[in-house]
Amino acid sequence: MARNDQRSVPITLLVVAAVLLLARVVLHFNRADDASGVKWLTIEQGIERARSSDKPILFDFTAEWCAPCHLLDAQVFADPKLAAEINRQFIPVRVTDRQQEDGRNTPEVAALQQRFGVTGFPTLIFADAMLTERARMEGFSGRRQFEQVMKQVR
Amino acid sequence: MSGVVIAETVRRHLTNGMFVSFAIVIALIAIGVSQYGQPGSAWPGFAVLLAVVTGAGVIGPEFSSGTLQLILVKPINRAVYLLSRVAGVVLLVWSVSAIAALCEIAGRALDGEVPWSLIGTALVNSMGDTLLVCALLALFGTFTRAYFNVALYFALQLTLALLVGLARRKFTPAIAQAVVAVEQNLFPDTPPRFDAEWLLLVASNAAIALVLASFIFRRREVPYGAE
Repeated sequence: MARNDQRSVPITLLVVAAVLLLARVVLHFNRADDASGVKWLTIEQGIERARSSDKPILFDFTAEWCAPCHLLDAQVFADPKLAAEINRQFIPVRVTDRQQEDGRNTPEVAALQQRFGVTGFPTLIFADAMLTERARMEGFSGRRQFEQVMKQVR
Repeated sequence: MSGVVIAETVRRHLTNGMFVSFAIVIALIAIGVSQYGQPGSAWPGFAVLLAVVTGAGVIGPEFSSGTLQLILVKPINRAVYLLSRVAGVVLLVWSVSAIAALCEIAGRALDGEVPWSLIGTALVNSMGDTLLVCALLALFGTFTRAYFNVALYFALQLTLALLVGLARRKFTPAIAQAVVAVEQNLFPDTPPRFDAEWLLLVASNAAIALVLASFIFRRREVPYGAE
């Protein structure tokens, strides 16, 4: 093997790196365009909307570090059919716990957690505009568990 | 890729008592996690540590010991040699991660339900993490000697973490955002879920690190004999 061959450029690796970079850019833009899924509202927006509607509020108590919460996201909230159903039947409100990251939660989040006695994540609470609890799901053991609780609230 | 170099890298590690002991410890941790811990927790962190320990020796020590000069008199492309050494190490670390995941699955199966998704996610994320660690250590190893690549890896991690903290407090949001972007590209936080975008980020960054490593390594002068 000639000296130049021994020091030649790894073309395949260059192509792989370019393809991966391109895929990353495409996926990034696709995700940004993807507006499907549950249309989450803030606590204030959710309660406001519930007052002028007969739909119950679906509170999703979650945290960034909580692995089962992401599983719930992937298996339930990211499912287009279920997401459409949730958007149609409920007022979805996401309540993200920041205790671990910021050392404390905002007063609204802390008050809501205390009101519903939320001690773990994920916790889903179905409540009316007066924040009276109608059903609850603690933890996540599969899509069927969510569908059963949803039926209970209907 | 050179099958001979990959096989030799694997053989060298499998006959190393320290490596085998470390792999056994990770498997035992996974069994412990199956009984007392959150699914897919603890052992992925140790897999990253194993990647640091094994990735440290990808190329740097061969410069210092003088063995690289002997290897490169063979008709092998430098980039192929480097990539094959990285592939061997990655293969070993991935195997240990897979064994750890299997140990956790076995432990949980004895008790009843196995959270396949969570353990599978932990395994895939651990593979992404360890790939990037090995690629970065290979890159740093191409322009340093001995185990200075590890020192550089940790120094960079620490410096960037400090810079992120400083930038958030003292600099404008645009500068802070840029510093965070650099930090998150080199040392991205592992998500607690399956995230295709994150996997592409680590895979593409690892590929870029290996391209740079190949370019540096093909031009580097290899000294005669040990230092």
